[in-house]
Amino acid sequence: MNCTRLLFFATILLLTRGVHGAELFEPSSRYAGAVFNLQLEDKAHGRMTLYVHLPNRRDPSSPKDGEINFAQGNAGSQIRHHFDARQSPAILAIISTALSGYLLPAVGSTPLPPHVDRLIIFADAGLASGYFYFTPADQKQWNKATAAWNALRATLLPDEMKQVPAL
Amino acid sequence: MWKRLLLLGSLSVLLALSSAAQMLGNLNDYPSLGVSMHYQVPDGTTNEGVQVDWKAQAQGPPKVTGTVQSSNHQSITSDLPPTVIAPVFNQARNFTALFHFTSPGEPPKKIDNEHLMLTVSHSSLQLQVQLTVRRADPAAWRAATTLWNNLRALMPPPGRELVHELH
Repeated sequence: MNCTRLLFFATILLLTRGVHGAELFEPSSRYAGAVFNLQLEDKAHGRMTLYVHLPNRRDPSSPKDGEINFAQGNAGSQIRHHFDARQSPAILAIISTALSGYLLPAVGSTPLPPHVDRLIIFADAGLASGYFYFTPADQKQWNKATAAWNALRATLLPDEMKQVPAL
Repeated sequence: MWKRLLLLGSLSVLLALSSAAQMLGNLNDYPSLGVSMHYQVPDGTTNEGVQVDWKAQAQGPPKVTGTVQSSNHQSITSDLPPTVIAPVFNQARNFTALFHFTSPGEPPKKIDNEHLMLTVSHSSLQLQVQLTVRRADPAAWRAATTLWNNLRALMPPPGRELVHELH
């Protein structure tokens, strides 16, 4: 009996948390959800892009699920991965963490050679949007950006993950 | 004697060429740095802009200019003291560090087209950052208007009067 009650309460708790999580991310109605692009340009892989689209739950015309696409070079999407909208807060947190405290290089920083490896994050969510460039020259910020790439990669299915290199 | 003169002449030509190459190298290393802001009015019909550009010169100190563009596309460019660029860049640095998405738990707000956009580009640092903030995000808006007003204050009259002070 006690076990049944515990199971019941645990289920209610999980359901409540699920709904709460889904409500947490409420992008402005101005946008059809939120969009993030992570574009990697490096010598080892060429150009690769992860496109992330989070649905706008208040817009009936918006898709119910979120989507992560992966493309390499000029080819179209090689992966189209759909995810439950309840994952949106976690994905927003991944991008927020990568961009939090973003600093431009200090005045007098050593110039970089042309065609240096870089990761460009474009984010458009709620009231803010922006492009942010990351290079290995700033190791701390580079690590944050590549961690975001790897965390998004980790949300893919195993077969899809194999196509996206870990950074 | 003639051989010595020829040797000295060749050496001086080589040194001159090397010096020119070095200068050209410096120019390529530090082509330009631009910090600009654009303000778009709420109905989205017009925008104003302020921009500070730093450019290395083949000879002499770098050239720094300030450009102001009014809502009716009138534009005035003035020379600025080279010392202004470091504080401007540092202010832009401080601003990007504040970038954030609005708190997901906040109730949605009706927003219009009014926004402030900062663009920073520095090609030798492989850098371009562009971010947009809106009045509905008070902390970001306050930081953006402070930067805008500081840039505006750097512009000598009559250019300064072409754009509004923002609050």
